[in-house]
Amino acid sequence: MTAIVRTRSTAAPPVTRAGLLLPGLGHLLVGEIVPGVGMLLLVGVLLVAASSAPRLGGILVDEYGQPSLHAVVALLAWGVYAAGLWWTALRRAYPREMSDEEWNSNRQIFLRTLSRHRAGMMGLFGALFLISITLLTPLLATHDPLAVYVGEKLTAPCWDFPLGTDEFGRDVYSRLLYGGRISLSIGFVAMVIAASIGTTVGALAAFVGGAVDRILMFFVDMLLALPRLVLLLTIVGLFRVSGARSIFLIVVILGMTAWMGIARIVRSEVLSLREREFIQAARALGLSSGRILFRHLVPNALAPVIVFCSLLIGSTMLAEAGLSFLGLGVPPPTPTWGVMVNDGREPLRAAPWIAVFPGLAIVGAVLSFNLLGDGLRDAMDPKLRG
Amino acid sequence: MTVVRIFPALLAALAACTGTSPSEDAATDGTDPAASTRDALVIGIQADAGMLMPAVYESATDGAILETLSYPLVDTEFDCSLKKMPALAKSWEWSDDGKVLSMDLRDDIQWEDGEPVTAEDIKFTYDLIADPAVASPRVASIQYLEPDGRPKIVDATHIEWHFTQAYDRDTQIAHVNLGIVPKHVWENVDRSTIRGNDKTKQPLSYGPWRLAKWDQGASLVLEPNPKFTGPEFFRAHLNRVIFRVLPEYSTRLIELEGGNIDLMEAVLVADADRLREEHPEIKLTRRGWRSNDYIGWNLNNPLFEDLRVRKAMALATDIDGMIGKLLTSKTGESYAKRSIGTITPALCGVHNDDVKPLPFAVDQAKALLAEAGWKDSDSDGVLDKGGQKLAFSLLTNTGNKRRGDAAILFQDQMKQIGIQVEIQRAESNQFFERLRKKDYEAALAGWAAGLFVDPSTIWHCDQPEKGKKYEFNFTGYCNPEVDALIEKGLATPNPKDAAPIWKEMQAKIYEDQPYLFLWWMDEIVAINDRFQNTSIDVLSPYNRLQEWEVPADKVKYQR
Amino acid sequence: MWKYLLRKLVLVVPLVWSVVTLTFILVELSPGDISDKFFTPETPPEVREMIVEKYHLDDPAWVRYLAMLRNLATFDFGRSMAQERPVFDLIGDALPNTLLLSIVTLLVLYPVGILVGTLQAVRHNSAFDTSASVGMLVMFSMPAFWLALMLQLAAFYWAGTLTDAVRAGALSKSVADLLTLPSAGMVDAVMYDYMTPAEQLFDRAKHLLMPGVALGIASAGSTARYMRSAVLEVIRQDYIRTARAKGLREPAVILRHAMRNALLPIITLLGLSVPALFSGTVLVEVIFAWPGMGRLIVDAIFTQDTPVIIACFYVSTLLVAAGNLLADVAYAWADPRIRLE
Repeated sequence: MTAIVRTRSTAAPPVTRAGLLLPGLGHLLVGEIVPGVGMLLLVGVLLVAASSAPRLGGILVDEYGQPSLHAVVALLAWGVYAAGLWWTALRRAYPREMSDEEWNSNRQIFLRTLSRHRAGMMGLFGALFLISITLLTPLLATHDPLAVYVGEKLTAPCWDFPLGTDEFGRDVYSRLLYGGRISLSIGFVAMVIAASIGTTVGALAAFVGGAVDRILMFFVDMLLALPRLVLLLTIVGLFRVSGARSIFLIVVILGMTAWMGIARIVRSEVLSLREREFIQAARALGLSSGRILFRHLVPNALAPVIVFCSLLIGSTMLAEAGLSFLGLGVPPPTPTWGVMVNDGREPLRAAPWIAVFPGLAIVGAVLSFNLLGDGLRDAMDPKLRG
Repeated sequence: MTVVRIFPALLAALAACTGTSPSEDAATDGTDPAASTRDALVIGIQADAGMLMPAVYESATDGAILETLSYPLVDTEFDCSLKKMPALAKSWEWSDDGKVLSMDLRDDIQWEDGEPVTAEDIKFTYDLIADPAVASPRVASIQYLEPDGRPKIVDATHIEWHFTQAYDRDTQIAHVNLGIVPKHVWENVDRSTIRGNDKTKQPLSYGPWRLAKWDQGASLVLEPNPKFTGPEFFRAHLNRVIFRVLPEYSTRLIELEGGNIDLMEAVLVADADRLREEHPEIKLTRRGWRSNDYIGWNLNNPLFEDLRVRKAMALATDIDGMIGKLLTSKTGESYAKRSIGTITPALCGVHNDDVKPLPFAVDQAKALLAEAGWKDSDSDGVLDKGGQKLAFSLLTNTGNKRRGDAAILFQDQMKQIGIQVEIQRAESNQFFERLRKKDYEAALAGWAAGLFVDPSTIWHCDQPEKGKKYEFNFTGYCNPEVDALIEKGLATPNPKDAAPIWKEMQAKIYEDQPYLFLWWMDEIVAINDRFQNTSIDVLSPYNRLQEWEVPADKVKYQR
Repeated sequence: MWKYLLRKLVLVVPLVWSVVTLTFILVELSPGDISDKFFTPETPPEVREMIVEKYHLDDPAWVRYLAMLRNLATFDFGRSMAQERPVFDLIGDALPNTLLLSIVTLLVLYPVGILVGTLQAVRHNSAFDTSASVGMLVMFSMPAFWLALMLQLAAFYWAGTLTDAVRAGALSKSVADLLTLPSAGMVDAVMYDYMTPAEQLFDRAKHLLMPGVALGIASAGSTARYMRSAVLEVIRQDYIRTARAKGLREPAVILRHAMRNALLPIITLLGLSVPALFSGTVLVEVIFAWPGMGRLIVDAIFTQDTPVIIACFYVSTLLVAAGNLLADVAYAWADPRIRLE
């Protein structure tokens, strides 16, 4: 406890006020390297995006002259990010007075632990960086990701094409940005699907118990025994999902093959919570089973699920990349990082950059979410507190 | 020199101080003039061989390997047309009506196990092919043979082929020139289980090479057949031929550049320039016009009924530009030429060079579409007529990058004349299934070149009652004039007489534009230049392998 | 203990049955079948019909389902429709290669993971801990197929460097040959048969290196992560304090007490990692031309070779079950507190 008390000083170091001018700088000056660098990166993205503001007019409409949602989302995101950054800087410069009760609340302890978790913070800022980039993609991209022959084919990285061009003369940098948007969305949506199925199945199994529990858990064990990629390949390969709908189907299939871990976690959490006093009290009050399950049990079991979900985004992105690598993923010309690595497979010798950069992006993204998951786990684990 | 011969390893170790080139210690064996065979050829292949059995084999690799194990009836070479040289058949002649072909066989050729190769073996081969229990992929070869698709044995060294009708003589030769199955090995095998029989993995050679070793899925080794009794010039010169299975293209290329394989097929245009520049030791050869790509219109679809629409789309497609982008190297070397039909330009006597491909003329295309009544009435960028938009899906198969790329370029060009194209991709099996069932709107597909002209499967009017042969008429094309020409051409024995008929047919089909004919492609084969007398041609990337050799001073592998 | 094992063994049966049934349903629901392969202008339609008849593709699904169950029960996997060979032979060829690759990978990379994890825990919160944590996570976050491509590319440039060195006289050719890393295959297809046994062994080891790293690096990363937290947990226990209090030297405490107890959860992890390894081989084997199960199943899926697909799932489920069982036994053997009842 002593450590916490010592840093709980209300007087702001004057130097952090510099952070109000440039968020991140203040953090760096008080020695918070990771958040500082992270924020500076985010600010950098914003500045680059802002510098392309003159092109905004052209971006507001798509190739058919229809208003484009992308740009609206991007502008909104820009606003939210800018506000968030300056708010954090403000908080750093003028810390808020806190009562002891608030200081020792679970929420504050969690936030403090996470903010001191170096790896977790790296993950958090990595993930934020990626998300901000994908949201601001229309402002950051220099070319249409689908436009062919915007440059010579297989051009090595140069000023106009910072990451080179592919076999088709498409700009790898722009494709990487748009591909990130799609890859991340696939990861997120599949994660949400998996989390919903997993939570429902796990909670049901634990709450109902008996034969239902055994059958559901047998099913979970069976699916866990199958190599996931092989299962995915079989489903997608046999059904040869194609056409415009395929991206949705792939997301659904990815989600439906990833929920088993969550089901197990939720089941064991609910099992242990079931006997706790507040649930007994709810029972005594005569609340309905559904209400007890979804209003009291599930929310309390969510902490480990959130950690797992963070890891799941990473593993889903890897699975999607693996599928795309075998040509069974999202159909071209839509770029995802996996599709891009696949595109770079044949010209690997002629143009290594086509495969190298999206691969690095995958590593970075998956790494960020895994680091974040680590940080969240440590921050939520009561054993590591205090 | 003695030192070199006795202690090559020692020398190599010492070389650290003096520096040496690889060819120096490779020259050790070259001083021995008695060595008739030397060096090994390593070939990188994408998929392993399957069944090495002439009656049932399926893949092109199987066929090419089987060829090296055989001493054919008629030795063939391809240059515009088929050149025929006597081999197992010392001589042959046709009857006046062109319906009987009699052959005089050599009596000194034997199987690897010492049994002689006889007319009985040849007849047995055709027995197998004709037997429905075998389900042989070669049955097309026996369709005109009688009785029952088998040859007649006159005596041990004479055999006669009777045809139900006279037709192109090159095709007749091709039909009788199949690989021979050893009767004494296969005679007692249950015919319905031939494909699964382990003997398909242990082929018996009667040619210049024999199968020495086969690690399935990994590598296959051929060595000269010591029991080969054919003519001296047909003997193998190399020590070994090793096929390495390398499924991944980039792996094959890396192995080629690293010198770990000597020959690889289907090098991408994107790599051709670079190979030429960085690897003087690698020679690039072309195998001409082996396959084509086309966009087929489903003619049952009302959208494509109007010839003007089909023609407009052809006019608005910059095919030369697409060739420039997809099939031309950076130094401007082009590996494709525009196609006007399904007969390969490699058959130079038959291909109609007078048909000029349509020009790239967007204005003409727009005019044609307007004439056909297509206008952009709601100005959304897509043409429409009577409430229907000029929009369709273009089906192509996954796993073929070139076609995928071409589809995207085509989509782009159609957009410019107000036609909306949605690209659909299907896995190969499903792709063909949909083509067969005509369950598509437009399809980007291709044909491999046949060296014998039989356009009936693709262009003859779809007649379900005539059997499934016509299922390959994917577009549902039907032109009685073309049908008549096909039937007439097929019944003409002399290729020279048939040529004008085929030319007329090509012109007629091109006028009808049932396909948007794109291009014929060259395949690039890369080979290490220490090999000489190589013949990489349309028939096979490693044709006449027995003649390949390496000069003494360039030998790389001593065994 | 035996009772426990027997009960576990009995549970394998419904597991395998349900996996096989699921696979069968998937294959059944998918459009098209193997006969599509024979749909080419060169293949006469009769052949296609023959194939349909031969493999009873026209029979109702339940008839084929029952036939399949009967055959699988007797380890008769049927014949591959695409390759026309008994599936048993195909798996017999492929499985040993995959096992060789994965077991050698496990044996080499798991100890590395365990070592790094332990060191991290011992130097908890040090710079080494943080950097190793991130490093292990990077390994864990890497797509195996991408890493495989990158390794291949790196090996190629490395070979180029060596050749240049030989040409410049800085290196002897035999040393360069020794240092060159092969980028594909299981052995040197050209010269393997002419090597001495020692050279053959070395050649095999060299060919294992890159596929092994590409396949196992993620497992090593996750092992290190688990090991770190396991050791951290153990270190806080009373008996470690007791051991320290007794005056045992730190390495002895760590090696004899902490590591041994922390290894227990890792054993379970080993059993659980079989499916993940199997997934990994799919992509790695294609790139490194390794003739194993991964390539077999990818080809089978693309050609709709039903018997092979089902047999592959069957075998992999058996392997997973075996892995779990083995982990259970090892667990019981290693931890005297546990009596399997």
